Amino acid sequence: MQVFNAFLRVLRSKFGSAIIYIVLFFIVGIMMTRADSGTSVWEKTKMVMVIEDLDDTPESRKLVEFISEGNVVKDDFTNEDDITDAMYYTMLDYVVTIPKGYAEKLASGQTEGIIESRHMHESYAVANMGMLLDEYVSTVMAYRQLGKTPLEASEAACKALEAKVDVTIAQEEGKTEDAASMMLIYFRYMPYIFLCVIMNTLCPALVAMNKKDLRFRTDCSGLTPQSYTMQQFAASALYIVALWAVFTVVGAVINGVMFSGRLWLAVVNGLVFALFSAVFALFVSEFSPNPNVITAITQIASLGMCFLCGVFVDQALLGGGVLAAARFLPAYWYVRLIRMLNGDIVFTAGEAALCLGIQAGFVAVFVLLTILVHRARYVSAAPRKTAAGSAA
Amino acid sequence: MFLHNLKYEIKLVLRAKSFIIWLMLFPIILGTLFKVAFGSIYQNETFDTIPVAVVKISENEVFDEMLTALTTGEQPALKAISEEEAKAKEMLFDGDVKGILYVGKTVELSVSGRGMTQTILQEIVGRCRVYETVIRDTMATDPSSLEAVIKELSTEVDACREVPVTQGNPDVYVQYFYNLIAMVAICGCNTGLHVSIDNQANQSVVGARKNCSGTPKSINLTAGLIGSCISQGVSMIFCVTFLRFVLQVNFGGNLLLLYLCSVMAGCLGVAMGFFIGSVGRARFEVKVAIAMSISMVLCFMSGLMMGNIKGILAETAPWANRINPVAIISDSFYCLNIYSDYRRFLTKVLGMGIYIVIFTILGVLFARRKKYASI
Repeated sequence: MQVFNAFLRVLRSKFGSAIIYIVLFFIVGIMMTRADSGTSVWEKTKMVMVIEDLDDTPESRKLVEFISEGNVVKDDFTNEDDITDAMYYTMLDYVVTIPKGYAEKLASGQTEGIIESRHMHESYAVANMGMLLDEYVSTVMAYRQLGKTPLEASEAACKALEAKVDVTIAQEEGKTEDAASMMLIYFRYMPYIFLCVIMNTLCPALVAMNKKDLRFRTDCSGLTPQSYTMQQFAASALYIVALWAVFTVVGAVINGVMFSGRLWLAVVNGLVFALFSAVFALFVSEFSPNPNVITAITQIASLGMCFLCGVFVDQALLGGGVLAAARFLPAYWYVRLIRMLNGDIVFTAGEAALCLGIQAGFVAVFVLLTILVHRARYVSAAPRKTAAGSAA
Repeated sequence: MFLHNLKYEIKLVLRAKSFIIWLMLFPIILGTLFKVAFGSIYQNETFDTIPVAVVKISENEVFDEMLTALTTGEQPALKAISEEEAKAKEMLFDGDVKGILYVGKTVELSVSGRGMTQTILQEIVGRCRVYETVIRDTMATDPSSLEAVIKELSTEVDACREVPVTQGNPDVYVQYFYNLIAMVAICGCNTGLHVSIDNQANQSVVGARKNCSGTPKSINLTAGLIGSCISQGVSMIFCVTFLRFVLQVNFGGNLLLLYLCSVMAGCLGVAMGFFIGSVGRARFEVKVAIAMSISMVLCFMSGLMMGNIKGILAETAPWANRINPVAIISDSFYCLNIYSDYRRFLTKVLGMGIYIVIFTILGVLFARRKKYASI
């Protein structure tokens, strides 16, 4: 148990810098969850808009009323720059301007370009809003054929366009409750948090254990390489499980959720990925990199994997080629299981087991690679030992 | 003496492996990954035909006509596939179609998820109801006008005129590259941190030797800072060149200003690192942890991991975007791209300048007159 104890002692000596990473990345995790929590519910598919009524007539007010129905209208922008910024950062979808003379043009039967719109990004929602505005004007014109005034026609058009459609969700059983959904969003960002925290805290300790002086002393001792490696794995596993438990329990408390049903799968999913992060850290440490290199590898591995695998950007948005490449990374399978649990894709027990199994496979592969590198770099260079422990 | 120190400072930084990794390889690897991940997203998000399954329960002429209009043309809104209910459901769950339209006397919609595509399908089905309502109203008030009303309804109207917002590149995913440049710049705090550590006798051997030498600390620090800014500036130019010309990222705006701005951003990173390194007597490892953690949190708040976080902060805590140095850096690139005038860009550059001055002055104040009774 000497290596095990020594390793924990080294970890304890690095606790000061580790706690900085743990606390700050925990804050990042919570912020990510809070920022992302509102985007997946049905209500949020309403468009966020600004309506500028420069005509200010009963007809234009009717149009404003129609557009406002079913959308979120914002009026707290103080200048054009704020509107442009909000559109760029997708906080605002659409700006409708009703120019002066709108009512007059409507009365004269002129429809071409009587409403102005601005948007930054092309999307279904934007195309739909454009069609809806055309539809509104077309319906007003149809009612004008019945001899109605522009205002009466506008009122009738609003009424006709209010027609509601019943929509059924054909996969209701896969949908989770709001609190659980929040927890799943929290879990979705865990690969980034685990990779950053575990690599930044575990690698320095492992590198310290691999230092020449310490390694030579270990090589001279009666300890077999297998025992050394297993004790190092065991100490790392203990640290990782503790870290995983802290992140899971505190996350659950903050999101106000009790684990039940399929949510336990997300917990297990987190554990498997935490183990992967640990063995990846072990693998990297075998090359004894300096602290700057560790930080660089951590950032490249965590950011790169998370962007490619759909942690930060939804997998549904990523291209087929990107997803095909991402299948060779564990975070892809982690996120896929989270999406299944969230009801984004169909959940099947077999597919869920496959996701966990592939991640476990990655853990096994990196354990083997670590042992291989350890043997190649250190054991082959050390004097051979007999079964009794003395050097041959 | 100053030039001598400056020369060796630049040599020292350029020979450091970590400098090459952080500031050269980092943007190459991460930029390439970003390009692979985001290259096609913006195109994927633009308007595309929505596939739907149609399950016919009974005849509905109004909807049939509307469906024909929606499924034909240069860029049709829908791609309708007529299927039996069981097959349609299978296609829905497999993601082959986005919804199922049950066409009877009324039209009903079934979807498998909740999103904008489903909302649009709901709107389209709703429009069928509008036609029915208008025709019913016409029949009730003036049946003789039916032909004129139908003609009016089927006339193509182009009531909504689109006004362009910017001459720049509106691709929202470019902001990830802005944030990548900002991250490389702020990672210059590693270089700045070394300047500070290498001048503290209790932190490094080099620091102990420098403190024993006859060279004034002011010359050592100035040479260190300027040398770091020069090497950081070179790496920023390399980063922007790689992203712009190798990965072909369209940043929009004036490229020369983009280069100048990124060099200035690099200096901001160096100044920040110098400040963090000068404060307190914590061990080097702890200072690195503080610098890297703060950098990553600032990068997160600027939108490196979540593109819309800056928009959310603009609504909930607008001061956060104004004081976050990484957000100021990425905002300056954004302003160059989106706005045709330089008013806001200059404000951001001024913000960077203020940070550089504040960090440097504070760093010098903390670093000066340190005495070491025992090392």
